[in-house]
Amino acid sequence: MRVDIRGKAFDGQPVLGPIAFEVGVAEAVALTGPSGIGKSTLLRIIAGLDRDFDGEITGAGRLAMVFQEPTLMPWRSARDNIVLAADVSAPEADALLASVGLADKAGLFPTQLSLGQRRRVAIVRAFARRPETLLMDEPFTSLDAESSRGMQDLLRGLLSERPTRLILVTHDPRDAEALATRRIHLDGAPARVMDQSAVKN
Amino acid sequence: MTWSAKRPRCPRASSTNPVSEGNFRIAGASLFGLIVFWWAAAVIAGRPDLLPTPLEVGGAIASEAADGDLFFHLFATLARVLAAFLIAMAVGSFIGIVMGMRRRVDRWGDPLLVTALNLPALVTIVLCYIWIGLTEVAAVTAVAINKIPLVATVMREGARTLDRDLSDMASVFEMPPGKRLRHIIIPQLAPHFAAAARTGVALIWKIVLVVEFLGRSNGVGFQIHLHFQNFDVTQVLAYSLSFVAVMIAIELMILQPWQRHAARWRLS
Repeated sequence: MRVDIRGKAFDGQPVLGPIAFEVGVAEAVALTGPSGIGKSTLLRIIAGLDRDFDGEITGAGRLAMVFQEPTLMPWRSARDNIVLAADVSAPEADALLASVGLADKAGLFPTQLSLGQRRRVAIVRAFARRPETLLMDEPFTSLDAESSRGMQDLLRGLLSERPTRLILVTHDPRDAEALATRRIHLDGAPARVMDQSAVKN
Repeated sequence: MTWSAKRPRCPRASSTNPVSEGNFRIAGASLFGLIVFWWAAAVIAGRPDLLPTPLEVGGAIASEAADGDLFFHLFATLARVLAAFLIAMAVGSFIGIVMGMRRRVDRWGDPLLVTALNLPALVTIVLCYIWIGLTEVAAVTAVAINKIPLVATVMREGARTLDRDLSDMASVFEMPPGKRLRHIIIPQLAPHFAAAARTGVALIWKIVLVVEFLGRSNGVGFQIHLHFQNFDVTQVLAYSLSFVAVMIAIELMILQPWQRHAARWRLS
């Protein structure tokens, strides 16, 4: 897929300058940079949530996203959150939940789950959609180091089962090292690509 | 393990469950106290024409029920309440949701809404009867018009606070409009809808009585008008208390259980 942004402004104030890069199938790219630089804005543009920009996104295919917050429907069970959003059957959703250790939680409402459990539901919901491109916006925020590592292992496992393009927004270089094959560093005002480098994992 | 993020608010079960067994007992004792107080007042006053005892009113209810008059008039009023309620909820919800979601509409509509909220019920009733005629349509329209601005105000608040993150999620996951409405929008609006419905029913039946009082030939309001002319307090109380009982039954048996059902995800 190709990201080709010529510019993006909020109320006449440019936030993103020219940003262009390609992401191959099964490639995992980490978008890094100081907070407030426009990483999330860029991800929202790629997700199609913000159409008010100059440029184009091509070849992303079927999308799924893991948001900064789990963003589950609180009035639907964990299982129904997956069934309804990803359009899969209940047994498929149950199998996915079981694969991340939530077999006995499928019928619970999100308010009955811990934050870590809700994040796991959000991740399997994204995979249930069988996306060609998976977008993640700081998916490990406010988790302690141990839970973060657990989540990264889980994600690596899921990614290895199905070749999926991953674009991960993070301010934490450890997330980038753990998951990405390439790092794209944004900086400046308006933000542009300052540095691209392969990540050794 | 430590979780640093805040967990969502979980209101206590009792706050959304007003008809638990203990509450039932307290409500019963409270109503019993009212009847005792009424009885004592009636006996002390010693003027059955001005304040009959509960027994006399009960007797009047029984005899009106026996010849079928009571149910005929109760039903006539109930039908008007239901018609006005459905119209007001549908039209008011539509207006409120559009205003809550479209800022431009809200800016233009808000002064009109404030005006409508402050229009006295009596004015709309009189104008509807003059403009439309002394008909059923005029009666129901007048009541609905009184209620629509209130429903719109409550629903607008609900639509304003719709969760943007969930809408974004639905967009990325390409949830079809029907699914979005049913699983994302309606659950968020349901508490507002229930609040509008509950305050609505209480307001509507009081206005329906006025409408009947002024220009209908059946219903509880008409009966009150009739017995008012004879200064028959016993009959006035018999009809109004019967209808209060009907409305309380609707509240306890339909509205509250439905509200609890809609809010069950909060009870975890």
